[in-house]
Amino acid sequence: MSIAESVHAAWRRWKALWWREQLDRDLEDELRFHLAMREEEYRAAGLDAAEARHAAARRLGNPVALKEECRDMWNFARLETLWQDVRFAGRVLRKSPGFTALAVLSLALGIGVNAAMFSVLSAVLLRPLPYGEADRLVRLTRFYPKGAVVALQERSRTMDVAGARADSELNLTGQGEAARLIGSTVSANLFGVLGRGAERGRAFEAGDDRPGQDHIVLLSHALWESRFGGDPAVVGRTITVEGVDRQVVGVMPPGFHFPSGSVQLWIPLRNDPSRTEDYWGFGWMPVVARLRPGATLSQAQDELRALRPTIAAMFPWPAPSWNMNAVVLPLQEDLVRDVRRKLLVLQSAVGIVLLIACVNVASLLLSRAAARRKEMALRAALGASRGRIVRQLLTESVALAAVGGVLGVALARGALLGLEAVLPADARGFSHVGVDLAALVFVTAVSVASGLFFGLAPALSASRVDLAASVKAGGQRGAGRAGARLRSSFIAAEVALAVVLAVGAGLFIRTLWGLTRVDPGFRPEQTLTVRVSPNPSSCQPRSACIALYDELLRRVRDLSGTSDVAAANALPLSGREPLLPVELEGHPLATTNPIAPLVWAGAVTPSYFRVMRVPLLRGRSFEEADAERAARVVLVSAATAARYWPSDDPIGKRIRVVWDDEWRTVVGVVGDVRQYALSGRSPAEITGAVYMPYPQAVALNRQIPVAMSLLVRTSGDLSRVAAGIREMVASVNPDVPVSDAQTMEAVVASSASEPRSMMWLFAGFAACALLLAAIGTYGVVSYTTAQRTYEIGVRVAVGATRGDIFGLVIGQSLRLVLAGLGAGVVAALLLGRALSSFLYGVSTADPVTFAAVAGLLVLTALLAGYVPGRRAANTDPVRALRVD
Amino acid sequence: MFGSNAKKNAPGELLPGTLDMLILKILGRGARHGYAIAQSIQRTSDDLLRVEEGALYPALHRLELRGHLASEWGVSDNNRRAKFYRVTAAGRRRLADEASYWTRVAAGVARIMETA
Repeated sequence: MSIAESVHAAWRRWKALWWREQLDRDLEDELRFHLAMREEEYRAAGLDAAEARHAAARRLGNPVALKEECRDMWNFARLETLWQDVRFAGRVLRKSPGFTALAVLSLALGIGVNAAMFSVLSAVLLRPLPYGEADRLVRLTRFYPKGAVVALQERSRTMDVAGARADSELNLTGQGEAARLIGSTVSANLFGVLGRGAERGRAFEAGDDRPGQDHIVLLSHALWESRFGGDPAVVGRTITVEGVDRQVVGVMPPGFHFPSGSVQLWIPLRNDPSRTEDYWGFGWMPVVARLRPGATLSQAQDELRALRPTIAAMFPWPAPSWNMNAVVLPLQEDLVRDVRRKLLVLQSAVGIVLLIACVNVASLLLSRAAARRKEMALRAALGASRGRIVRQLLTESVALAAVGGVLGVALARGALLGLEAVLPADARGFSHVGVDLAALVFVTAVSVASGLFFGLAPALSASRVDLAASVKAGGQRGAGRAGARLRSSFIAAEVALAVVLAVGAGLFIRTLWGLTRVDPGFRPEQTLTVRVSPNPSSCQPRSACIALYDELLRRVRDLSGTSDVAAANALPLSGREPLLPVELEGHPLATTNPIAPLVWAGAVTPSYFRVMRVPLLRGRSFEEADAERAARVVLVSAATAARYWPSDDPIGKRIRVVWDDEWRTVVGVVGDVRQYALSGRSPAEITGAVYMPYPQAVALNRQIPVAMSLLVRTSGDLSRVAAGIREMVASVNPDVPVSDAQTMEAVVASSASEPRSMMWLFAGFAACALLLAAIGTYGVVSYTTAQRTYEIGVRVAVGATRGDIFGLVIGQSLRLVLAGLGAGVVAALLLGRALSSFLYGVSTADPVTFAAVAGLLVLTALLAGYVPGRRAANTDPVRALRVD
Repeated sequence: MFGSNAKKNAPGELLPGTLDMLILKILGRGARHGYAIAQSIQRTSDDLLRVEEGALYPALHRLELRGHLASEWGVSDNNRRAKFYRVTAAGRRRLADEASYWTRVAAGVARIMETA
C-alpha cells in the first residue's frame, strides 16, 4: 500500500471511530438490499418466496463472518494481531533473559536517574514561587539601608518596594525552654508586595514599621504548630522575642516562606529617621518589589538608575558610589541564580547517563537483530510480509521500553530520595520534591523513541534480508561487517561518555581529599561547641555580659570531662562572619570616599588560641589583665600583618574601628585561620583578621557581642558534656537558649558539604555510567564471540591454545574500551572547565585522575571480556564446527 | 498493509486482487451498487466468472477505505435505497497498474501453456 493510501485509510478509520454505529447500520442496509435484489431475481426465475430467500442467503455466504471482515477493516489496527505480537514479544524476551535483563536495566537506570534529576530541576528552577502573581515580582540587586528603602517606597512610580533582612537569629523566651529561632525583619508592606495574606489574624500592614507601632510579630505556620501547638488563640497573645514583648498579629499559611525557607517568624522594621546610624548605617538589606500594573522591567530599571544618585545624596555621609551597579531582576531569576549552574551541571551529568542507556539499548538491539537474521529470513521465507516482521521487532522494542519505563518509575522515587539526601542545601528547593510527571513522561518518551529508532534500523534491514544467502549462511557467519562497525562505535561512544563522568567524579574526589588534608590553621579534634545567646538586654551594661561569660566559662571548666574552655563570637568555617570596618595605622582612609577595609573581628577569651591550637607567632597573647577598662589591645593574623605592614614590625602598630576615636595596639601576631572556607577562599572585600579580647570587643551595632560560641576541649562523652552545659546554663539563667551543640570537627566537615555532595552525585552518576558501559561492552563482546564460534573452532582445531583464544576475546574488549577512552579523555579535558569553579587544589587536567579513570576503564574492559573470553576459551572445536 | 498483493498469491483462483481489478473495471462504466457489480461481472464474462458474494462486499469496503472508490446512498431502478460506488482518480490509476500487470501475467501464462 502506498503512503497516500495509508494516510487515506488512516483518515477514514479515524472518521469511522466516530461513526461506528452509522457504519454498522449502513452495512446492514447494503446487505439487505443485496439479498432483496437476489431474492427478486430468483422469484422471477420461478422459485417460491421461501426458496428464493434461502437461495439468496446461501449465495451470500455467512453474513456474520462477512460483517466481521468489513468491520475489522475499519478498525485502526487489528487488535488480535497486535495481541499476538505482544505475546510473541513476551515469549521471545523471556527466552533470552540475559539480553532482556541488560536492556531493561539500562533503560530503568537511565529513566530513573533522569526523571529524579529533572524533577529537582523543575521544582527548583521552574516551579512558580508561592506568591501572588509571582512573575510581577522583582529583586533590586545589592543592599539598602532602611532610609533607602523608605526613599524608594516614597519615590518609585513603577514599583511597590519592600525590604526584608536576611535570616537573623532571635530568642524566644517564656514559651517553654528558651529557644533560638530564625527570624526576618521586614518592611510592613512586604506581605502586600508578595501578595500573600495571613492564615489566621493578619499580616503586617502599612504603618506597622513606624516606631511605637512595631511591637508585633507574625508566626510561620510551622512555628505555630511546633511551639504553640497550633493554638488558634495565639493571635493577640504577647510573646517575648529577644527580650522584647511583641503581640502576635497573625500566622502565615503553610508553604509561605520569605526570604528563605528557614524563617520562623517575622518582625517589622523600626523606621526611625532620627536614629541616623540605625536608619542609614548598618543592617543593609535586600529589596524586593512588585511592578505596578502597566510598568515593565526596563521602566523599573530606568527608574532605579535615575533615583539612585538622589538617594545616595540623602546619606548623612558622602556615598556617591553607593549601589552604582544595582539592577532590577525578576525575583525568580534572582533566587535561582547561584543554583542554576550547579543544577545544570548535574543535569548534564545525568543526561549523559540517559544517553549511555539509550546507546546501550540500541547496540543490544542491533546485536540481537544481527543474531536473528536467520530467524527473520526463515519467517520471510514462510510468507511473513515485511510489514509484519518490522511490526514484530518494533513491538519487542516497545515492550522492552515499557518494562524499562515501569522499573524506571520505581527507581526514580528511590533516586529522588537519594538526591534529596546528597544535593547541596541550596539546590534542594524550598520544599519536598515529588517525582515530576512531566519529567517522567519526557524521559520515558526519549527512551521509547530511541528504542523505536534503533529498533527500526535493524528491523528494516532484517526484513530486507536476502533469503537464500541468510538461510544458507546461518545466523552465525553471515553477520554484516557494517553492523559490527556500528556496534563498536556505539560502545566507544558510550565508554567515552562514561569517561567524562568518571573524570568529573575523580576531580571531585580529589577536591574533597585535598580539603580533608588542608590545615585550617586550628585543630578541631576533641572540641565541642555550643552557641549561647542571651537577650541583648542582658548585656546592658556590657559588664553584665562580661560577668555572665566569666561565670559560664568558670562553671564549664568545673564540669567533669572538660579540660579547657574558651568563648568566641564566631567560629571559623561556621558561616558566621563577624566583620568590622577598620583603619590600620599607616593606611589612612581616603577622605573623599571613605570605604574602610573590612576585617574579620574575632571577640575571644584569652584561652581561645590555646583551645583552638592557633599558634602565637610573635609578641604576646591575650591575658586576663586585658579587661574592659585596660589599655585596648588586638592580635592580628600573620597574613594581615604581612599585607598592611610588610616591612615593619607589626607589634606596636595601631588599629581603630572606624567610629571609634580610640586606637587599639597590636600586641601579637597569630597564625592564619581559614575562617570562610577550607579552600582558603575568602570574600574579596575582606582584607584581614584581627582579634579583640572579649571585654573590649564591639560588634557592628557598636555593642558588645551578645551571642557567643563556647569551645570545650573534652575527653569525655560529647553528648553527656553537651547536656551538662545545657543544664548548667539553664541554672545560671533560664532565659538563655543553648543551641547548635556540635563538635568542631562537624563544623569543619559541614563547611565542605557542597564539594562532598557534588562528589557523591558525580560518583553515583559515574557508577551508573560505568555499569552501563560495562553492560554494553559485555553485550557486544559476548555477541561477537558467539558469532565467531565457528572461527574460534577453526583456530582451536589448527592449534590455538586456550590462552590464545582468551586473549583474542579480551583483546577485542580492550580495543573497544580503549577507543572510547581516547575520545573520552579529549571530551573530559574540554568539558572539565565547566567544573573548575567547584574544584579545589586540583587542575581539570589532573593527571592522577585521568590515570585512575583510565585504569578503571581498562579494568572494566577486562571484566566485561572475562566471561565471554572464558566461554570462548572452552570452545569444543568439534561442536563448534558442526554448528550448521 | 496486510497482504493484499495479487502478485504474491498463487494463480488459478479468483483472487481478491483480481476481484479488485474487475470491480474497478466495471465501475469505470459508471456508478452502481454491489448487486449490480456482481451481476455485471457475471454477465460481461458470459457467466465464466461468478463472483463469490462473500468476498465482494469486503473488497468494496477495502477499496473504499483506501480511497480507490467513493460511495453514496441513492435510489435503485426499482426504487429502493442502495449504496452506489464509483471510481476515484486514485482508483483509475490503480486499475491501470493492475490491468497492465494482468496483461503481462496472462501473456506469460498463455505462452507457457502453448509451449508446454
